Amino acid sequence: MDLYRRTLFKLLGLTAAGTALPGCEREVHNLVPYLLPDEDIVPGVANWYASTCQECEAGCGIIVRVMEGRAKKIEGNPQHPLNEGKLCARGHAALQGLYNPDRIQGPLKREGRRGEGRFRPISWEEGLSEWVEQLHSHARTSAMITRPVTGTLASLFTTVINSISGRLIFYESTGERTVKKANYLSFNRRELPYYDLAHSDYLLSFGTPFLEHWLSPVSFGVAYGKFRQGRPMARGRFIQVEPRLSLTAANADRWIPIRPGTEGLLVMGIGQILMREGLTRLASSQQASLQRTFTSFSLDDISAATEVSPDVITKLAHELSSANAPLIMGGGPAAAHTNGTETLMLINALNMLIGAIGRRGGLQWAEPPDSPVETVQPELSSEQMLTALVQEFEEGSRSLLHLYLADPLFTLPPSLKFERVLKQAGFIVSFSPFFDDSTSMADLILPDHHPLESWKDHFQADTIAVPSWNLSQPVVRPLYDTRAIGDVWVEAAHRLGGSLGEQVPWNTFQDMMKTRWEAVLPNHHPPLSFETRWRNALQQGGWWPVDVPRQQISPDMPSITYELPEFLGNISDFPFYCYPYPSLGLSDGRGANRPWLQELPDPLTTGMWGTWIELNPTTAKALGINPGDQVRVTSEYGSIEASALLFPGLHPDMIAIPLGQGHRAYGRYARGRGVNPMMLLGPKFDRQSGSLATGGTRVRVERLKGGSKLVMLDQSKQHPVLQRMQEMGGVS
Amino acid sequence: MSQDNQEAHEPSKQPTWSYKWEMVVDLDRCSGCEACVVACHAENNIRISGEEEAAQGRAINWIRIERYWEGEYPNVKVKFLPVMCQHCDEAPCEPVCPVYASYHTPEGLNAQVYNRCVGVRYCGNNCPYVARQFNWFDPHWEEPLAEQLNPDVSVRSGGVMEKCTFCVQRIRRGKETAAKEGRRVRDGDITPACVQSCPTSALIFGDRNDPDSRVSHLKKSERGFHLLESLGTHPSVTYLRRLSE
Amino acid sequence: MGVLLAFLAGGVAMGIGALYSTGSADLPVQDQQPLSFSHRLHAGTLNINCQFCHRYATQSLVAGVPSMALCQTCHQSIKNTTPDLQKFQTFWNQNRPIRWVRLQRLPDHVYFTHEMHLLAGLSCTSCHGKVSRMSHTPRAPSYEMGWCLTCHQQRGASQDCWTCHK
Repeated sequence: MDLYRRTLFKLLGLTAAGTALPGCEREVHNLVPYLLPDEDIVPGVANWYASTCQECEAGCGIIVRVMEGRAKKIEGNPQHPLNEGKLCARGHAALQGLYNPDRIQGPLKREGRRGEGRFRPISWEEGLSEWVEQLHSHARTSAMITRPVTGTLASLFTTVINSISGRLIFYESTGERTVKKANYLSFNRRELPYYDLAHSDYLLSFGTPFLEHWLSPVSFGVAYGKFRQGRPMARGRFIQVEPRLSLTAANADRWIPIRPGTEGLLVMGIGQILMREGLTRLASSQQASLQRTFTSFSLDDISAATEVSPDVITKLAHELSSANAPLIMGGGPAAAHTNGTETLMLINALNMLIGAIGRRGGLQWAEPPDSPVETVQPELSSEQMLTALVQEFEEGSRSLLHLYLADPLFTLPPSLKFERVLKQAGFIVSFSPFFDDSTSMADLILPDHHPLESWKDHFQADTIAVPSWNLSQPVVRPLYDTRAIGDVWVEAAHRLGGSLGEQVPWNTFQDMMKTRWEAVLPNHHPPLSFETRWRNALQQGGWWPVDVPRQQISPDMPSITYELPEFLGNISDFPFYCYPYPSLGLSDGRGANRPWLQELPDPLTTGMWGTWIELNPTTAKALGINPGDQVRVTSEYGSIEASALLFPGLHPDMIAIPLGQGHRAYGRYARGRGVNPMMLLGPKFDRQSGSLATGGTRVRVERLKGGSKLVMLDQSKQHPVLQRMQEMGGVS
Repeated sequence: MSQDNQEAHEPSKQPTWSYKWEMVVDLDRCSGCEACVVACHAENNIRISGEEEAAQGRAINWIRIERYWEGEYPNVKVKFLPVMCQHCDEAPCEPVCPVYASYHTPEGLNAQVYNRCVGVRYCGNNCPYVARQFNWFDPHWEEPLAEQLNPDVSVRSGGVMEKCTFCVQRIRRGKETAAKEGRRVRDGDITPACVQSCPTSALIFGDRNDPDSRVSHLKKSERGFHLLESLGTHPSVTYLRRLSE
Repeated sequence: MGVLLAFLAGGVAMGIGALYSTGSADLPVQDQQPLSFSHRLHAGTLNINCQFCHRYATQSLVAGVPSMALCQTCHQSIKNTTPDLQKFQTFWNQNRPIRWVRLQRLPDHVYFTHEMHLLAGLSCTSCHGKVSRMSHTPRAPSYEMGWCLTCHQQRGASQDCWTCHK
């Protein structure tokens, strides 16, 4: 038998004979029957439960494969209108959040100095009383920073925080606040449009990393597949404009590099040509107000500033006018400057000029649902607003800090001085299930369940054809002595008492959710009991209408005052633009404790398990930098050191660095690995939205002595197939 | 009724169907997002190698996205290619295995029987697609990460060569479901984990013996080609060329 | 010398392999169940259908061990006259499951499904023997590959490695 042969080889290799029984380590030696049979469970047969992915804010529907009480695999929910059964790398890795070896397993109280990292396990009763006591003693000075939750949890947070005169801050470093702000200013809409990419035949994208991490990457991926090959006679064409060739740009038919921050000028140039040649699809009366906006710079000036030739600009204009259903999108690096919102507003105006607003294959806004439950998604706070919070904590008008799945200490540049909040705060409570950098500064930790262990609901109205109410249900029993944050806040509301107790009359968070869902779920004919409708919604993963009417958008656009971008650091000392971009797997860093994502090779560089610094090969040569050299990047605000990587698709005046690494805490896979390029950024904000201008700080680069290790998948492959094929004649 | 009575059951003769499993990769849809890579890790109990092992080129991926840069700034292009085991009909890995661990199944799969494998690595050296990967050590999962492991797939121990199976456990399940209903597997019934998760639907899987299956149709596309075709390996994976403007 | 060494090592390995394959590597004392259960009584004398207790056999890979509650459906109306019956009742009263020693096992690299074998018309006894005549269920002699293949050959079932190896 096989064992004999392998054993033979092991013994010949002088391995200890004790290892001669392979495969037995995980063997089950006992058969333990259930005491009471669970009707749902057939040993050996998987159950699938519908829920909602919470790894990013997109809110994809998921189904979870559960066997004998353990979650095994996550897939997209085929019924869900957003992701149609598909899922991204990060969605799959939610399982490594659930089974993460570094989860916080119960309530903890700080011992020793703040930030020293010593905690003592306490009971939930002790934790809850301590928190409520702190709420009493810090009356009216509470602040809560949470990731942007929606639905019942947002309502509960709002109710409780309002009743104690606190400040509630929804913060998301990758929240694309500029896109939302521009959308509001241009179209007077809070919810982002549905980008009907699937039916467009020409996409001009200014920087949007929509195939990577932008807004709702899975739904964009689904649409992109249809855009390219989903129609028998048409193949959509796709042009990407940005200074660094991103994964999204790598998929474009043409990549047009541009000088960072000048995207708005290029938009103006295209608009000018369309208007001059009478190629717009807008009544001339409505065009008048845009005339001034689009002609404030001459085409020659635009070409000089953007480094895009007049011919290319003209070609883009002509392509837009000759396409049947052109679509323009903007975001990512195009919005990472002090003029980000203005650039995006220009893009909105250009969409209006080409008739993409409200059109099939263009931008559409679903009619907000007529529902008694609030359907407005909470407004996100900008980084600038967070600096105001720093001031409030320093002045003492705020003193009690709550943190929920937000890690401002890691995701904000140190130049914004958020560390002072963590020093000045009278008391810090974190509800995070992980020791992220900010949570390790907490005084009290009341850890939340993992999303796969708890009840939640989500309202999704951005970038979706029909607004949807999504449900999350516990698919596995809680692994540890954690508690759902909803239940903890309901309990706190009871303990705080008074009018708050009356506003939160429910015993559990699930009860509160169900009360709201009685209003959400429509009761068609024949009428069904609420329990039946609720069960159906749980099986489906939520509720969404089949279709909704589209909103009419006024063609009157506000005038736009465009200014050129401003940068921190003078050009002689700091000659390079710097662009820290969210990594495909780790995003802004929250994926860094999942080993699958750490080991996921970046598709463009094949780098993994670390940070690298991307330089244009010509630039690197001029600086005497070779691939693998240790280099230092310095700004007026800080410096980082990492391995140099030559990146052919990068503007020669730009340095690009992936975000995600450089955690001080966050468990064994993340801690002390790589560097965080946020260290470099200064307090420069987008003028309109107050979002951090992540491209707004200039840097210099120098070579250090010696090389440094960066793990790349390429090293293992002597003969990558693609390279061989390319040498043999090419693959198009 | 005791077991003696049960012997009276007539063996129900199942009609048998023959399948030939194939995949199509549409490079005009593939965006290189690597959802397939993590889906494959989750489904197939692929080990976490860690930084040290990965640095030695020992990270294991049954499917990887190869990329190739062309040209110089600003006229650069980058090409992607998802590469998994090509399940060749004339597989170079099969004849070199001294213990018949690597063999061809009747349904066209290039199989690796882990418990036969003695780890000589001849197959891996002979594979032009670098699709086979060797376990240098026993795998390790920090508790409780192992709770996620898929019971339908063996955990490969050290000293064993491993590779993409087209998710044979899903094929098995799909065939069982069809057999219970007394029918042939329908197109779309079986999706390997990578195919299931692919946002752009760049990966398509099916039965080439079914003339109406999507793979049968797509294989005939004028965009179709095979990797390293001149080697004569006759892969079961057909790639569809990416188009340009 | 090298040849001799290889030969010796091979001999050791063969010995260990043989021990393992016959199941003798597991000490008999491990087969001692927490309380004595008689298949002869339940399946033989009482003539209870196998699948009344092993109820997942027709729908799952595994046949399943009966839940304590299932045992109790009958045992609540049976007097605890023997020490083993009393032992069972103690387990039940204390809300403790019985940790049965697993006797039939397949290695991790084998895929086996009860469901499909039953669907193909096999009876439980074909593989498990006539347990209705066994007062103590012994460890199965061995589920070796050759034994499986013989049957697959005779019945015209698939002999492809990947039918059963995963």
